Amino acid sequence: MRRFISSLFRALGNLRQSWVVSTITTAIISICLFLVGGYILMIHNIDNIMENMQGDVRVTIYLRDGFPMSDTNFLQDRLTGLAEVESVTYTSKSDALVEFRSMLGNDEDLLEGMDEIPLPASLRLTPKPEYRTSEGIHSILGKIGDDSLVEDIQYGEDWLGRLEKVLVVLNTGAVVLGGILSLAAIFIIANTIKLTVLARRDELEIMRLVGATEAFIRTPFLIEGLIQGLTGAIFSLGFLVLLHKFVVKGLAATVFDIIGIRSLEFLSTNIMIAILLSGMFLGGIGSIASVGRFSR
Amino acid sequence: MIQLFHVSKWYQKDVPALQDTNILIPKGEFVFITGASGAGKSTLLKLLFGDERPTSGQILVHGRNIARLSKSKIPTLRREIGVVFQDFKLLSSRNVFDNVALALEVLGMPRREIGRRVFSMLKRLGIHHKMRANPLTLSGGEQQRVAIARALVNEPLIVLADEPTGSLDQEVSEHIMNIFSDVNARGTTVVVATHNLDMVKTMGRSPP
Repeated sequence: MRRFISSLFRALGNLRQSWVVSTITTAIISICLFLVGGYILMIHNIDNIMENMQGDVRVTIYLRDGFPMSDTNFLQDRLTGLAEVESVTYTSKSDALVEFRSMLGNDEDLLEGMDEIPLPASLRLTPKPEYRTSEGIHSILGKIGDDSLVEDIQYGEDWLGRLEKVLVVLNTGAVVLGGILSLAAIFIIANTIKLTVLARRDELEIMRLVGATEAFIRTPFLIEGLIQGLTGAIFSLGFLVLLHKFVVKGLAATVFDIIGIRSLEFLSTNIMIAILLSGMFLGGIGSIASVGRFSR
Repeated sequence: MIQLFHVSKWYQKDVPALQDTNILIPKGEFVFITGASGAGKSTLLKLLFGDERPTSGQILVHGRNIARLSKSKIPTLRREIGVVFQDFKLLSSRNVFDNVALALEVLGMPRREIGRRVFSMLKRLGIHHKMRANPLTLSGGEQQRVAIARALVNEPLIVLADEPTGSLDQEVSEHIMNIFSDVNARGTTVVVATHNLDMVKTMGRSPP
C-alpha cells in the first residue's frame, strides 16, 4: 500500500511537472472519445426513430358486410389468442365514418347526401414488437387463413419492405463506420501516449540505471495513463451532454412530431460507464505498453 | 571482486567489441581501463552493470554470475553498482536534490532518510548549496559531481565510470579523479574507463 501511495504521488508529480503534454494527451483522448460517443449517441437515436416507425406497423382486416356480429367476435377472439398478436380492436362502419370525417376536416361536406356508409367495418391488429416485420406479418396472415368474413387485408407491405431495407443498410453502415471510428480513436490515443512516453525515455533509462524495478517504473505511468484516460472520458461525456442539449434545443418540437419521437435520448448509463472504462483502459494500457517498448 | 572468464561480445558478425577477455579485479581496487575509442571500454562497463550480455564467457561480480542473471534480478545488481557517464545522464526535469534522491527512491527508502543521505552526499562533494538548482544551470564539473553523488548515495560496492572527465577541463578533471580516489579509499572498488593516458599517469598508477 505504501508503495502504491508513493507511486500515486510520483504520478501526480509527473502530471504536474509535464502538465502541457498531459493536457494535450487528455484533450486528444477526450476528442477521440467524444467522436465515438457522439457517433453512438447518433446511432442510438436513429435506432429509436426506426423502432418508432416500426411501432406503427398495423394490420387492417376489412370485413364483408352482412355477417352477424357473433362471427366478427369469434374472429377477433381467435386473432387475439395468436402468440404473435398484441391486440385486436374492432372498428365498426360508423366508427370508420367518424374517423374519415375527422380526416377530411374542412372537406367533410363531401360526404353529405350519402345514404349508406361506404366504409367497411374492420379489425385492427397490432403485432407484438418482435413480429412487426415482413416475416412476422406473413406468419400472422398465414394464421388468419381463408375466412369468408375477410374481404381484404392491408398492412403497408411496400412501406414495411422499404423500411426494413433502410434498417439493414443503416445497421451495417453503423457497425462498419463505428468499427473504423473506434480503431482510429484507439490508434490516435495509442500513438499520442507513445509520443509522451518517448519524450521521457531518458527518465526511463536513468531509473533503470539506478536499479529501479519494472514495477517501480511502470506503476506511475499506469496511474498517469488511467488519470488522463478517465479525465479525457469525463470531459468527452461533458461535451456530449452539451451537444445533446444544444441539438435538442435547436430542433423544434414540430421536428420531433414529424420524426415521431418526443425528444432525443442521451446515452444510457451502461454506455456512459463503457466510455469511462474505455478511457481508463486506453490510457492505462497505452502507457504500460509504451513503457514496455522502451525497456531493454 | 570482479572476474571475467573468456568473455566475448559481438554486436555484429565479424566485428567483435570484446574477444576472449579475462580480467580479475580484487575488491577495493582502483582500476583504469584504457584504450583508443572503439576498443571496447564502454562495452566492458556495460557488461559489468548488466546493460549488455556477453555473447560468450562468464562474468562474476561479487560471486554472482551476471551472464546468467535473469532480467528481473538486474535491478538488484545495479543497486550495488554506481555508474557515472561522460554525459552525466541527469534529468533536466528534476533539480539536483531530486536527481540524487532517485537512486534511493527506487529502494523504497523513507523520504526523511533520503533527505538526510542526499544532503550528506551533496555536502561531501561540495555542491549542497546548489541542491535546488536545475542541473542544466550547473557547470560541467558540477554536473559530474551531481552524477557521482547519485552513483554513491546508496553506498555501492563498485563504482563504474565511463570517460567521467571526457568533457571537462584539466583542473576539474583532477578534482573529479580525486573524488574517485577518496571513494576508493573508503573501500569501494572503482573502475574508470578512459582514453586519457595522461590522467592515468597523473593518478600515479600505470595502465594495466
